[in-house]
Amino acid sequence: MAKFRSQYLALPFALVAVVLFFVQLIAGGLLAVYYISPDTLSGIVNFNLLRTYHLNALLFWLFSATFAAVIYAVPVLSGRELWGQGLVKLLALALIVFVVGAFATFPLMQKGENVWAFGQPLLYEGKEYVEAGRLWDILLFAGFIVFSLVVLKSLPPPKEWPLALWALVMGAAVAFFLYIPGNIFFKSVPTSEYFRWWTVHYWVEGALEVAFAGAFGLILMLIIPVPEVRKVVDKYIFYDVVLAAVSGILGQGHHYFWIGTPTFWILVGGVFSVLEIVPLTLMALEAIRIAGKGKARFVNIPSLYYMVGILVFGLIGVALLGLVQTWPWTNWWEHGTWVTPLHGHEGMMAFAMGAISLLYFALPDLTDKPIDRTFVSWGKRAFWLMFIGQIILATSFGLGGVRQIYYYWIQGAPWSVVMEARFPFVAGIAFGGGLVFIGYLYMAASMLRHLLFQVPEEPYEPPKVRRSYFNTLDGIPFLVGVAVFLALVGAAGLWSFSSTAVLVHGSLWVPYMLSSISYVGLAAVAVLLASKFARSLEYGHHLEGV
Amino acid sequence: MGSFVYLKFFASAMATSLLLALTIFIYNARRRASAGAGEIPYFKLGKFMVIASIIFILAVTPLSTDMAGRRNPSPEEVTYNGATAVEGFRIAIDYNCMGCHTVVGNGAYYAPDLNYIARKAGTAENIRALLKAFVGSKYMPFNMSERELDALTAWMLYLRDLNTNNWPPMPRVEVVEGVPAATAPNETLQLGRQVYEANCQACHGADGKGLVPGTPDFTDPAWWSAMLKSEGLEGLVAVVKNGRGAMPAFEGRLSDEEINAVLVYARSFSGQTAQQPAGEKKLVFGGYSFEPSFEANKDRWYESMGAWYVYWVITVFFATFLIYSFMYWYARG
Repeated sequence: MAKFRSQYLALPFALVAVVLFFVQLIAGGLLAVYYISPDTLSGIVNFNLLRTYHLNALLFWLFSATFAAVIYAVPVLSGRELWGQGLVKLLALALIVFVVGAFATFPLMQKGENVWAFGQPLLYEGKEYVEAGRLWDILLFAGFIVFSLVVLKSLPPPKEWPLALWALVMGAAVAFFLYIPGNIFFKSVPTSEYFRWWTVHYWVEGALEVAFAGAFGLILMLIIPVPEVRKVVDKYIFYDVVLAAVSGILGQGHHYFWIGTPTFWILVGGVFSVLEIVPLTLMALEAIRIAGKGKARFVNIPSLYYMVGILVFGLIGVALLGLVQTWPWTNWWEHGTWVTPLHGHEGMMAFAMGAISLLYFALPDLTDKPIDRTFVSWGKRAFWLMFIGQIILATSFGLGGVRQIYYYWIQGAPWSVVMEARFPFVAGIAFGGGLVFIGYLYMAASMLRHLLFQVPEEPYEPPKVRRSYFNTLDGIPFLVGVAVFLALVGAAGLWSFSSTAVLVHGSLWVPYMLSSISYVGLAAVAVLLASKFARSLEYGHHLEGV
Repeated sequence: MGSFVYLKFFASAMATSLLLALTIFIYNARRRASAGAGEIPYFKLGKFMVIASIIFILAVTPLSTDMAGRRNPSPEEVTYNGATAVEGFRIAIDYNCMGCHTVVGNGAYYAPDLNYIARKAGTAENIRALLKAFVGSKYMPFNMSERELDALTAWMLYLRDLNTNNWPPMPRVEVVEGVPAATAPNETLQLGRQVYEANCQACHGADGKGLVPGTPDFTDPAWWSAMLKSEGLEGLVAVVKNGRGAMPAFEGRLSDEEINAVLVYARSFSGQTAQQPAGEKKLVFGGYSFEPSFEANKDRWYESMGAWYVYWVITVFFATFLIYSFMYWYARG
């Protein structure tokens, strides 16, 4: 039984998140239809509308899931019921109004019927990731303010906060406040893009690296309530926040190479975005250490798997696939091609897995039902389908993107030729997306079953599984080293487009080979890492020596 | 410094920070061993560095948004038929262009980059003709008024002229006088193809066989020999420049090099070894590097070489901290 009644207020937010996740996947599937047959949907639901749904459903469900997690966690942290429960109910209603309102007005972009007032677009924004118009922004922002009020009123005074809570609150606050600059309409495209990245990039930095680190530090402290853990977590959070903030704030510059901003960003942004792998690598290495030290068995296996998902996608998708393309010399080639969604899809999946992990964590506690065999096995299937599906999808984007670089930038071929060159990889994207969708069905089914139906009383006990390379933490630092090496190979692959071999002799062996080795290799390492991490923790093999 | 200026700054900053961090790491080995287990090392320094990086980004924001010296054209001053680029930007937002295209490389990847198209098309007339051709088609299934098309044309002209550090990668045309070329280099064909697609394809067809009645079949070698015999190279150039029949004049819209290249490209449809008609100019790849933009930007103080040394020092400062912290905190656990 959840300790506090007000924790149940998390449920509507969680439900909105699960529904919006479905909308995101459907929109993604329809986007794939466009790549297979461009005429089928044209004029009915245009590509840009579907893409707007795809991105915004993602953002809204992440917001919603984060709200749910915070509402669930705050009473436990403060040891009393939530302050202002009426406000929270109102907030849930406002969230639904916001989502429905924004989604209902997006279709107007098919005829260009936006409404402008005070020099600002009211209904939608026409800017990637921040498409919700000013009207909805104001509603959302009011929601943030009310939410912060509820959280701050409910929590004990800040003096008593552990650093992890500071990280969570600060990360969330930064993400919310930096929602403003990206949304303002500027006449100049470089200025507009400059501030749009403040929003989008700092969401990643603020929300993923700082707030999620804080959230999982708190979970760790909740599971193992000894002062020593608090010390370890405090230290770990502090390193992570400082490194993520310094490298993230300056690493922002990798968005400023080619948008009309000054040349110095090529130096500053280049160096620091390369160093952005520092906090994420440290995070991964620290996690191994903490996992190795942990003596308690983690019973909520689905949540655990998704936590591993954040870690692996954070390392491979965010840090290393970012490293492939962040050097100015490689970014010059890959910018504006399908190589970017390779990084984007794996990076965003780290967020998604974080949110799903929080949902899975809170659910059994709220329903007060045991974590039974079916819950775990469906949750695990959901994880593997989503994980592998997303990797196949993202890798297909990357490989198609490498061909696009050649046909588009070097040959200067017409767009139809570029589309043809990328076409074979659409199969991989559709296949991977299909796997993610099946994974989603498993996830939703496991959650709804747990919420609505009776489950057997017998909790899940991990079977005795023989130790092997695939379910122990042996040799993880070596694997991380291999992954870094593969990322450098990928960077070399993109850079080799500048070589005479490609430009003069038209030989594509070097870039194609290096890129394939890198992207496919990183995909394999990601699966291997996930398997080692998740299963060693599940079967308890981490306990006997690391 | 010559070429690879960026690379030199970049690599030296990286190497210097790495060396500095390693030195401090080794020098501090004793302090690391004796530090208390409970405390968080470098607590104050860490907080200071976060604040310093925030100050840095706030300080460079005015420079990055054109407030100190114009780096990019002013969107209010770029106009076409009386419509400004600002108006065009609003229309681009209303139709969510970024949801299919990329703008300065950001956006969806379903349709071509708009800066790239604008540069490829070159002139306002070409840009407008492209917009006119695609609006209302299955690719852009919506209607636009003439005024909206004018505004979008202005906006794309603005995009064309943005100073994007030489991105997107495009083969650049450099004319080297006095180099006789027996055969056409690949680059000429590239340029010719671009010019052909932007200007000629609509009537002459993508395969060169001609779409509109009265256009010749470029794939026919006999037509080429007859033309070269009767009119000569100069005659062909004159046809492009002055127009003939329904064909419009391209004088002023295409440079001599472009006319040269487009003739080479058109003739390549016939499968003949394309001889370079003018013969004295050579087109070379020069665009496949963003290096030259340093030279092009040196007149703004914050992008001058002197300023770059300052950025280099700042970069080394922060980078040393990051690398050192990584080593220190990892080693200490």
